Amino acid sequence: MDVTLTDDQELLRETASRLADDLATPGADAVETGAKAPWLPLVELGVPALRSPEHSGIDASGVEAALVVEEFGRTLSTAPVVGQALVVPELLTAAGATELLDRVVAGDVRLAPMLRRDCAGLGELGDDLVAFDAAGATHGLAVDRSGRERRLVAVALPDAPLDGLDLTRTLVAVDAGAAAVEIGDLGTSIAPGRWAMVMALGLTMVAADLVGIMRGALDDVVGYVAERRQFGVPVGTFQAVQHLAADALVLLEGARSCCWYAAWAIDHRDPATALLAARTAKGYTSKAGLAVVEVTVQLFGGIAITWEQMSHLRLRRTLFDRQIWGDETVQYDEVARLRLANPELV
Amino acid sequence: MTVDFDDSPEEAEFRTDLRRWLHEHVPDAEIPDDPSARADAQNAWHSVMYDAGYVALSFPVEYGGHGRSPMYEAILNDELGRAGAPPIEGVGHLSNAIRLFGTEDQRRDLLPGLLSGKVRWCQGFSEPDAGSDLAGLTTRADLVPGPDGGTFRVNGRKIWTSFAAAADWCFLLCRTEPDAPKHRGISVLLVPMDTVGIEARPIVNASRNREFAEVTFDDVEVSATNLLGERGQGWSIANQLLAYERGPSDVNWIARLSLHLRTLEDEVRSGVIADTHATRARLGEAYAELRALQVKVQRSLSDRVHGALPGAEGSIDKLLMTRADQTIGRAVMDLRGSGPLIQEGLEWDVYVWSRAQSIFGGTQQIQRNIVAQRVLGLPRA
Repeated sequence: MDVTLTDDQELLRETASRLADDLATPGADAVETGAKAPWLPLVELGVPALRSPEHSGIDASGVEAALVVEEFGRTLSTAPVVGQALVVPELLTAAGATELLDRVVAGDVRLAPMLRRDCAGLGELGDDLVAFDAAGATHGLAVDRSGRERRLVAVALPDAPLDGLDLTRTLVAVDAGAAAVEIGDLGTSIAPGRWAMVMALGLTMVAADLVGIMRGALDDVVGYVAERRQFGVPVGTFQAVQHLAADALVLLEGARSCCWYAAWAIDHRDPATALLAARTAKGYTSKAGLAVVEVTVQLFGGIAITWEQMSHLRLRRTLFDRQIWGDETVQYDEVARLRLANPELV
Repeated sequence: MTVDFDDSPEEAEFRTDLRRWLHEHVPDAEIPDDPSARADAQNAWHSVMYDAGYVALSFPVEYGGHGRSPMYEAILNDELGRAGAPPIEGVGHLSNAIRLFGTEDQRRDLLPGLLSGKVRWCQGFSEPDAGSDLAGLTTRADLVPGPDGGTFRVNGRKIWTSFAAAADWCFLLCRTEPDAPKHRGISVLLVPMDTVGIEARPIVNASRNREFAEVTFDDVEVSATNLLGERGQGWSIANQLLAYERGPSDVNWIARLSLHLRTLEDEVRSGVIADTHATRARLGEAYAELRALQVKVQRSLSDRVHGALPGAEGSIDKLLMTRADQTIGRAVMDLRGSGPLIQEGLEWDVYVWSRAQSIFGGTQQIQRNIVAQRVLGLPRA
């Protein structure tokens, strides 16, 4: 056991960090969504290829994927990293849709994952659906389910984004009556065990985005309270302020720990264990993420309630991330169910 | 070096052997309710573990340890928790302090007994007027010149000294340089508890346990050869020791928390606790807090493997441990409904100790000061 990053992983993180800085959302009036959201830089960095060894050369890349996602969460980038660059390739890989995967990896095809309208699960044909992280995507991937088998289907996305709360992510609604459309070979049915791994990946990547948002918020506010003066001194000298910031870092490190383990487990553990780890990470980060961003709002003071400051963008993205695949209330219930059903599961 | 939560072949072999050994040796008897019987049971279990070679895994061989990487401490804790075994006594912090700062004679004389549990130690740190402000301690040790460097004459009062009544030795923080600035005037003396002038009076804690004591030193004479490190070095020794104490695996607390959670889950499976959404929400949260702590500790231990000494970041681990302990402590008290209210029992003891978690070893507020100022780099007032 050795939980430290390799030189290659550090290098990837630094590269992703620089790109995420370049593709950062600078403020609420300069959010590049829809067709303007960056995609080709993600393709050039190789993010859609990361989970596919024949393209990336990396055999087990859950940790690498989490490191990249954290950086883009940190800068509130509109680049559709989680949905288009990671969840969609994972779905295509699980279904064995190699031809489409090649085209996504090459940046030629833009697909978004379809969630149920309540955002609590991947959507099935016949549900009211919403495409997640859909900036620039022409089609969405949903599931056609019969019994325990799941096949991928594509639906066309209208060019009509919703006015979603999260200004940095594009959502597109598709009604229950929508028909599947032909976009190429969508592979074969996905067995339950493989499906659990897709879920684990999706949960963990959203958890990693939450870790990134927390870190961006904490980095910014620590700089702010060290400078902002009241009563003739920096407010960061006050213990009341220091303790809130310290607790935020404790939550961030707890969240990152859960997230790293879940990201690693995707490639190294059986589906049930990986799913337990992913639900643990999603539950922990959903709770800690909101707590940390709310604390940073408090520490920024009144400026955090304004349109021009970044805090509301963080709150919006955090609130949305919490809901995707379920918040801590959902996850902790599932975690306990998994553990109670199988005492050997850790 | 990589993010790898899997055991190396050597670690896997160790884990398999340990798991088999625990399966055969974990005591069947219920943990006794009576506090002193419990302390004795814990000491007996420590001896069994020690004799089997499972104590001081990451401690150097020449001083009675096993010379393995710190990661084995995490494996030990995993497996103790998984087996539902009682935890062993935490000796890592004192033994590391003696190893790092002691003379060769002190190491050879003192470490074997400490590690085996056959010689019991207490820590004379807090005083009635020096709690969070530990460096404000006033217990005096005045050097009286004589052969072998002379003798320190100790006068003062210590409090919250765990296991003082049963201890053979005291790791004592005292003021030897009254004219120096307060952080530079402190030294560590290693004091035999049977020295004339020492009196330990037990303090009964909220769960009727007599683990704590108040210890008075009245003209106690301690040879200058019992000084640990240099005169005036006490504060830095204490900080290094506290950093080790804050490394949760060293004090074996994670195994204790795993055991509490596992017991609750067993009771839900057997129907003693109702399997409702509210119950599952509490269990799931407790599990998540525990996992966050476990993995964070694995990260910290990995840093130690790569050569880092425990430092200010250890306060993050201690604060995560506090969260996990207090989440589990409340669940232990709450989920059993009226049971622990109608008949006071171990639940109350677990709960009381979970509240102490944010006080002992440096309060939650002191830990937050450390994180804010020394990790986040916020300015001091």
